[in-house]
Amino acid sequence: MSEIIITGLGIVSAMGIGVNNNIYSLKNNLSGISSRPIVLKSKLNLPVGEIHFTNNELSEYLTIPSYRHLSRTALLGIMAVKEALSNTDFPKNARVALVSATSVAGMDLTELFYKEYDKDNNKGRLRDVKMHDCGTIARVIAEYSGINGYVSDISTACSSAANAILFAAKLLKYNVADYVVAGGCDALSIFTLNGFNALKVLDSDICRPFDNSRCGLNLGEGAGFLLMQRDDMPYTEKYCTFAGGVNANDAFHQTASSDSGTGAFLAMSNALKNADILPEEVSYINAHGTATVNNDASESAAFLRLFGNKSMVPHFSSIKAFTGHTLAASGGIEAVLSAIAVKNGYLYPNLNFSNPIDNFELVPVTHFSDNNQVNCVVSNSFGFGGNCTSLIFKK
Amino acid sequence: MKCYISNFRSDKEIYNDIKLLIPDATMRRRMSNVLKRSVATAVECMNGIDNIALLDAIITSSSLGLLADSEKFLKNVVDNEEVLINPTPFIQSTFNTVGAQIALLKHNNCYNVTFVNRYHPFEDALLDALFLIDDEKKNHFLIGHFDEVTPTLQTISKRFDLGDKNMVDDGSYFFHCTAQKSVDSIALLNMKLLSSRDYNDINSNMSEQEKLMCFGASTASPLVVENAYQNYNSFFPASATAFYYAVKKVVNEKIEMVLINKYPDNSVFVISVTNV
Amino acid sequence: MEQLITDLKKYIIEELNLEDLTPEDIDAEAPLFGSGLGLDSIDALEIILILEKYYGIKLANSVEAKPIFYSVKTLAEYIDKNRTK
Repeated sequence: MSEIIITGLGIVSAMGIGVNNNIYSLKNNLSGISSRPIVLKSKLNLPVGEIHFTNNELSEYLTIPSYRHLSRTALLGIMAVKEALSNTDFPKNARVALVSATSVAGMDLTELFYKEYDKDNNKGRLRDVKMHDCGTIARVIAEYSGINGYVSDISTACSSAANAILFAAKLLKYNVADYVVAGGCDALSIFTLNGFNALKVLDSDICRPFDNSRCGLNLGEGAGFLLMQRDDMPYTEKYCTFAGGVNANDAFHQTASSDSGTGAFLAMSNALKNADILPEEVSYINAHGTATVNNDASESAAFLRLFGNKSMVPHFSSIKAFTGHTLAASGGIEAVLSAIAVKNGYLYPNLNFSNPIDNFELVPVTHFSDNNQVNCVVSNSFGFGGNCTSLIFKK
Repeated sequence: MKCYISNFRSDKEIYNDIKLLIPDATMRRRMSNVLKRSVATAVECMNGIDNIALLDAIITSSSLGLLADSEKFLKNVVDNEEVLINPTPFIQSTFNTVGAQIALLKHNNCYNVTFVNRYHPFEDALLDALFLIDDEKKNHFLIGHFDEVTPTLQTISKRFDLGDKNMVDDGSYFFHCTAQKSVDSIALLNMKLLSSRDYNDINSNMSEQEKLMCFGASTASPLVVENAYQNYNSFFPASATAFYYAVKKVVNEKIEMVLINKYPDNSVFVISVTNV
Repeated sequence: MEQLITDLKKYIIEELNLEDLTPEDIDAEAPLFGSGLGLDSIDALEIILILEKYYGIKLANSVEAKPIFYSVKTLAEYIDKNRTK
């Protein structure tokens, strides 16, 4: 039976545009988080992982005429998808599909519309709402990256991209497509920044995942996409094998994770079973690690439940202090980094860690290193609605 | 790939008291209209809250998601200029809230995903369920679609000059499907996703008989309907609505129907539904 | 104080959308969270908004404020001492 492999990667995040810039930042401990939003016109003075280009600048970079007036979410998505496809020529008649994910979709433009509409229902430019829905984001990404097959879109909050990758693997397994570009994209918006602020889960400083003093997350923006295929189709470069994944629901609360980490535990343990891998074979966990008090405690509890005790927990780290929490994009960005970790033997640092969380005593990887034996990576993405997904990448 | 349908329900068929369907008062008081009626439809479709525990997967779909809560939150942010913002409509506005709240009713930890593609989110949800049946040997599935028409959506639709058409079909539709046939099974569902090239090949090179076989039909003369999703008063394809009425017709008239849904992304879904 | 308690109950019912409840139904001394009214962490955030909106009291987060969040009465006592409007 043929395997599903990863043969193309694309990232844009606050760390930079392109895989190389992102890896460079991770190698050199360069966080992309800035002290407050600059491009986003928000009154909230909070640190964010923002990409410091305006929509017009992004359009220009992509040579898309600015009159197309694309949402920032779509622009970021197009950027990452183009990179993921940059060294691939598809065979003639190959069925190429796109499974994209977003949680805010065209909200960056809808906000502009609504400010005017709210005052007078005849006001607000219609071109600012025509990209409001998630499906339009996916359709536009497909259009600008030359994907002319099946297009699907998933939205399950912060685990969206991970679920898109999971669904993409099924499209390949059941031979509905020959190649699938899968991942997610989300732009910073007034909507999400105020949403998380109202929930009082934003840190006014740069976030500290898995640290005992952590007190919240930083929002970010970006996109991360994988080119996935069966290994019986031609390819130029293989990064790793997609070994499997599972989605489970914490079913505890609409926003909070359970203290026992049930959803995270079920996602990780069932994903390993699904991939036929034993817990002791895991080399590295790319943790969800948002740096909220609740998430990191719940995820730590799940680690201990799965691996037995502190000494059995494999290397793990969260890269959220580099990118901020990029919501629906995070699972895509982190899947790309997981694939590179397997290929190059990288372990990524967890910035701003000083003291382990009381009662768990788990210490993440704090320095970048290469030449490690990284045979199997678990990448976690957890979202609102208890939505927990773990993906497994192996050599 | 196939599965059996054992029940189906729309939000126009909620017969029990909402407090019985959603007993948790905290949950209920935070719910927007579409969320409440979607979860209630799901519980009715499962013949009661206890059966939610049986489910191996909850897969939902929507074109525009929870619009009223999204707007309520956005309005609060705009009017209050980013201070004193109530978080509740924000946390309830994510697209997977309907699926999540159904799971919460019985603390069901099963697979729970939401498709939001503009053209065929409902078919994507069906397809995903069929993949799971084969992949993980699961049995009970709840598949549902929801969309809501809000006054703002109506105003915007008018300004887009869509005539009397709304952007989406306002409603919730749920289907309880199983991998195994049971005493409750009322219809058999067969589904294929084809590229338009493959579909055209089949269409031009096969006899009527071969074609129907290829489309998963089990009788010689099923009722074939192309793009039934166009027959409803909406701008986005109303494929869940069309599917709901097709299942109803199949069960009531004891016939077989083949729905051929063609979409602009060069994909064709062929769905056959047979009375059992 | 009596008036403050009644107002507070009214605001809680309105803002938290407590269906079917009247101010008389809420026991001012019963716990707001867990048992009693059965409110949760999201409701705590909304109560913080009530304090800010109607009484000009700013609280950083619900954790540090826990003792005052015990009941309507403890809340009212806190408001009485700290209100700026």
